[in-house]
Amino acid sequence: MECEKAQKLISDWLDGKLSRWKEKKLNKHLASCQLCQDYLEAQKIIQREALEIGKVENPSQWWLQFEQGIRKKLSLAGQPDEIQIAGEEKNNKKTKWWNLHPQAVRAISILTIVVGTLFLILYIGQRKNSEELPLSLMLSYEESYFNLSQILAQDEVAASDFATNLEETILEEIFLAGGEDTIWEVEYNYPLNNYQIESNDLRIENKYSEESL
Amino acid sequence: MKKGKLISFSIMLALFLLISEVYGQGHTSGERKNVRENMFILRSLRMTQALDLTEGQTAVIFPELNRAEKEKAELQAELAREIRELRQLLNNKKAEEKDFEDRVAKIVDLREKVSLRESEFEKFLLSQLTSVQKARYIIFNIDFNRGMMERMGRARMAGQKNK
Repeated sequence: MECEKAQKLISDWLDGKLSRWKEKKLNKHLASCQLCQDYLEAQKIIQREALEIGKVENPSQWWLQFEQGIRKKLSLAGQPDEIQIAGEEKNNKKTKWWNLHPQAVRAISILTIVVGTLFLILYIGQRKNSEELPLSLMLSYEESYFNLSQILAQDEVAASDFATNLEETILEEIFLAGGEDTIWEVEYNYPLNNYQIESNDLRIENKYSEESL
Repeated sequence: MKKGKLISFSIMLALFLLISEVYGQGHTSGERKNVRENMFILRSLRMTQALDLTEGQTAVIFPELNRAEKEKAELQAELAREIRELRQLLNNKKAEEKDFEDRVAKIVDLREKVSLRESEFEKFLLSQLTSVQKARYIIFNIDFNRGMMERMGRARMAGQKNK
């Protein structure tokens, strides 16, 4: 242990703030360092003397002069007054925190922006959806179908995609509803350019039922 | 869903398809008819699951559901035709006021008929359901209709991207 560090520990020990582990280390150093032993003795004397000095009551006039003296010195040095100093110290503390953790600040900023953006997207999206779909449209299947068919009538590609998508969903859901032991097959074979649909075009049959296996 | 219910559903569905073939209109395009039928199939399938219908309920509800669907599909096809003709009429400079009046009156009438038939069926359906099933039906209807609109939105967006 260096003497400088040992002397700092001596001060803490005299104030009763030293942990046992540090006290042990300090004692080890003191056993081999005469300089620090002398320092300890000197500190003990100072402490004892300080404790012997009684409390001095200064008159209020003295405190007023003391305060004015400090203010004068501060203004000469171009420093702000006491209140400003206190405020500045607070700011310095804040500045120090920002400066000490720039990555944390950056992460928090990005997180705030991302969360804010997501919230806006969800909020606006929800509002948009509720504005687009009035209750009458959502409650009435026919109203909904009418609206849908009118939109699809203007967009052949979307209509075709929509029809294909529906067929796939039906096949998937019938299969899932049938369970693992049954495969239900629905076949659609609608000629798109022929207006007449033959009765054989659409068949629903239980191809691989338990009974047939 | 129980296998029995699925079989009931399939039989009812097959019956509907057979009837719809007999009454085939031949006026609507294959694609549009396809969409209407597929939507009906999917809705019936999901409704059976969502309402958790008993076999007895399925046997009572489905024939009426099929009848209503056939009538509404015909009305909707007619309505679509009227609207198509109304669009053409608007582009026709020689069209007279009476032509518009007649067409609009026909469209309003058809819409009312569709709405009436839908209400009629719903009244019948609700009379067959328990309180919980009634509540489920309302929510199912909203979810299904919203789902279809969203599905259509996705199809349109995909179409625009491919253009």
